[in-house]
Amino acid sequence: MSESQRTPADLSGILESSHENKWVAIAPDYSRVIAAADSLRDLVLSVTDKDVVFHRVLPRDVIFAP
Amino acid sequence: MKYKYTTVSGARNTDGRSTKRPVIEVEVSYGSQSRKFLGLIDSGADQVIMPAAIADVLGINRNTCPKRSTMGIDMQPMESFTSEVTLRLADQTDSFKATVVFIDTDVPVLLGREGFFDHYRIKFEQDHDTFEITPVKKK
Repeated sequence: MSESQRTPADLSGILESSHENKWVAIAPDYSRVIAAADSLRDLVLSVTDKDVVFHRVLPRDVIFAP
Repeated sequence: MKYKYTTVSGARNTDGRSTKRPVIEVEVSYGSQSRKFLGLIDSGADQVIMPAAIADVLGINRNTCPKRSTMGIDMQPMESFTSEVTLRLADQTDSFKATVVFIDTDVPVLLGREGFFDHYRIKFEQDHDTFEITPVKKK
């Protein structure tokens, strides 16, 4: 069974406390956060690269139970 | 295909270890519009759930979409709408159509049972920090 190389195994190196409760655009190789914004619409308008990965950053001091 | 659980920035389990979640990159398409998101695999969700902001970005007109009521852990029903989109997972060859429930909150993309688990067999191996996704063979 092969293992995906595209899965972000660790986001802790690129997501900072300033990103909490924001949308972020992450580089396709998951090496860095390209941009962040309060709304997805604003973020999409500010990013031209179609291959970025968008992600809503949850606060780190909460237990998430969807 | 196997995938690693993702370490979430700063979040901790009750025992102090870093929180890891079964997250996967998913491309969401509607018409000519397409964007990539990180989606949380959630066997507890009845359907695939996304924030309505994604529908707006993809050009989905909510006024023409069927309405549904959706309830989360707070047990409060909220209005939602549904639309069919195309999904493609990272490192999976096939795309597929799924009906997504859009809600007006900034919930992360939740890959629930209808529309996701009926396309893939999911094997969680949390003790190995991996999960396995295998396409279901169509009958």
